[in-house]
Amino acid sequence: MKEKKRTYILAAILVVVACTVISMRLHFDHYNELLPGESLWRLIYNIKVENAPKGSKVNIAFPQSTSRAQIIKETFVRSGWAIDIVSHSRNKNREATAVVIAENSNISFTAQFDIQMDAKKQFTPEQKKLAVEMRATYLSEKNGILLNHPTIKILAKKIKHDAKIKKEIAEKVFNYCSEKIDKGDADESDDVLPTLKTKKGSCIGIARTMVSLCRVLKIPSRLVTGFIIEPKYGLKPHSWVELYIEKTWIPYDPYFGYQEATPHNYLPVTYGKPDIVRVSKTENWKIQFFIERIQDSYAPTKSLMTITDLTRMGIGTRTILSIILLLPLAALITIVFRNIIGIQTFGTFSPCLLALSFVYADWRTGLLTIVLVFAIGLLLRTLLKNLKLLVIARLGVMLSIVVLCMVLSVSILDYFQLTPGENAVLLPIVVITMLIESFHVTWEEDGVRYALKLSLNTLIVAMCCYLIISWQYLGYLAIVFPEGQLFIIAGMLIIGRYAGYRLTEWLRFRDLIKE
Amino acid sequence: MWKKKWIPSQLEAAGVLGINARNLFINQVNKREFYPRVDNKVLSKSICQELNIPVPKTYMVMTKLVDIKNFAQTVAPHQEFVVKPARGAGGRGIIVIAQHNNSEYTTPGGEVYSYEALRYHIATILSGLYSLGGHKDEVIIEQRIRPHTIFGDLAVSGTPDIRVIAFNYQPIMAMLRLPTRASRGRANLHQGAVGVGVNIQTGETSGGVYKGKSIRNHPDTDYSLQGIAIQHWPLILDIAKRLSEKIELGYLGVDIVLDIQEGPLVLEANARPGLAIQIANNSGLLNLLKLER
Repeated sequence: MKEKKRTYILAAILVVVACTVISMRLHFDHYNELLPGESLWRLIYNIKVENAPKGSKVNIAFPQSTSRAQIIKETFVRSGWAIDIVSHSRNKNREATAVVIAENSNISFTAQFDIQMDAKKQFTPEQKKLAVEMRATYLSEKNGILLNHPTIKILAKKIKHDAKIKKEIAEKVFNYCSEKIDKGDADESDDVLPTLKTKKGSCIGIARTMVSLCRVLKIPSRLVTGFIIEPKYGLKPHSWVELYIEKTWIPYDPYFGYQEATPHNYLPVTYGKPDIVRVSKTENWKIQFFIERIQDSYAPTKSLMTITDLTRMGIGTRTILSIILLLPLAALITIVFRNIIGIQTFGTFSPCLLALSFVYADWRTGLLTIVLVFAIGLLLRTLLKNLKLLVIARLGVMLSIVVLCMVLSVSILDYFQLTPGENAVLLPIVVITMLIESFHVTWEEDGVRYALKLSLNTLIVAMCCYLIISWQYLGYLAIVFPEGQLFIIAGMLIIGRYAGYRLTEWLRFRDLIKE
Repeated sequence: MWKKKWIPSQLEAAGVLGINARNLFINQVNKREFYPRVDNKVLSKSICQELNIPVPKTYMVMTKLVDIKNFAQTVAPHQEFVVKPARGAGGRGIIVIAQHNNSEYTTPGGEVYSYEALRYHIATILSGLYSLGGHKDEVIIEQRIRPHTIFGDLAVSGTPDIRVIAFNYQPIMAMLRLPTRASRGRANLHQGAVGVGVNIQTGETSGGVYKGKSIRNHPDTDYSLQGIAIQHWPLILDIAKRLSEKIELGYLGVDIVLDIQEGPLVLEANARPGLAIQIANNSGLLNLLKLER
């Protein structure tokens, strides 16, 4: 009685504390859905070229300041090559050009850009007088833009119809490109004709189509390639369009449907060509882009309260933290299944750990791999039984077999192109080994039906946990409001004193109910 | 009106003890420190012997694999014996040997173990495969029980035992557990044994439960489960009372077998006895426990 009261009081206190902290957070409003008013980000390019032949040339385009994203600092680290940073005032591009001097050199280059973003500032398009020869460039057929093709010409005419003002024409073209052409993934075509034919294209394909149509209709236009900075997902390469109308470069994004302004987290990098990096004479190169939020060392004050703000961390750290923060929730779900519904599983928390592995891989790969590894492991475990090994040695052998199966099945899945990648290896190998062992013992002692039932239950609970912890918005909330953990603890405390019947007992003891 | 249809209130009205309530209740009345008295059967047996409560004779206890060198010599005089983990639960890891010639060991079911196979099984027990929480375990080699003749056609595929639940050191409910072919000789209900309700005052059986369903006849032999008078009933109740007092656990299941020659012998005690006994007796435990709620 005393314990029950104390538990409930503790749970109530936790809930009150959590609510207070959350409302304080909301009150101080540091946590807008997208970026806070002002935030500081560090964009990193990491370029490596291996065995570069003498004379090969590397062009790297740098991000450009906009009215709402200012590049406030640049840092470059280079090794093994001479590098020359050039600003092309002609077409606004800023590029680093490097030429390899020695034969077969391994070279690397890291560029860091500190970018200050301000969501509250007004969007101002670039106003500029266009020189005659530049105007010709923005109306010409090059870099994947198509003008002299009947399909384009006829389509352009049809879209224009009887529109006369440039802005009106632009709007019609934009409407066509954003509504009539479906958004495809990055592996969809980047070229104009296939995009028009299938009515589906990548962001580059759709943007090029729009540029082509505008140029046919005599509106100077250019392809813009850059990044979208997203607090949840990091960096996303993207392409959109700018049209020169009334001495102003007006942005249009036919892919996401933004018109005459881009969101403040669009960061243009290069105009004209869709590549941020170009390397000549070799294929052996690799570039990685990273972005992380950095704490404003530029900001005048930095208080201890900052510690409670997990959103300030880099995207990599945040991804891991959000998964860790969702683990207790998965545990709570497992507890609900076991203590309130009354579904028995193998091991107390193995469903959570399986669910975690589904998050690392995608769940189809995860499930397929687990079932495959489990089946093979079980078969070998049955064979291993005849050798009569000591338990720990046998577990060791099983662990090795599971590792081997896991690696093999990842490779097999990859061969049939069923898997996005190596993440499936991160499946909890020890959990699966112990699952095989408990399955085997349960099979021998309680029969195969009971063992199968437990496995099925384990999988069901794991899938439910997975559905919850793979919910990205929830992961984001967990980072923004880490005090939400207190709700989960309160829930566990209350279930911990729950003396009611489990749902399965309604059935189990139904014969005892007297009429 | 709706309240009548609400199943939990109907279950509560019937006095059914649910597993959550049982677990909380056990936490309340059973002291953690006394658990080893029931979890380790070597210890339970010595407690019984202190109280002069008969138990199956221990032939040997092995704590290390080297102890096995005395095994053949120890079992030589005994045609039949039982190999059992000291910390096992739910009948797991128990092997009954009905006859042997010191190189081949045969179970009552006709399964033959070579010496090596038996040695391997013992090693497996020692390494903790069957113990609660996977801790290091001991192996008990002990006397095999010959079921009392009153069970006749009921004891077809193993030794029946009697589970008595004692609350506050008083027996409150009892059940006869009959192994079946499905349970492969074991007397645990979740493994497919039959539970038969026993009148706690008279020791007379009523109907039973098999795989979660109420039955009147034995599923293997069709022999009626009702109206069997269990012999030595007052003695059985007395054993349960005295043992639970000594073990000092407020809620305890005591498992007793009736040997054809020696009468009631205590097999083991259990600090977390199952709830199927309620179905076997067709009555709930809740009202008997006077739960503090």
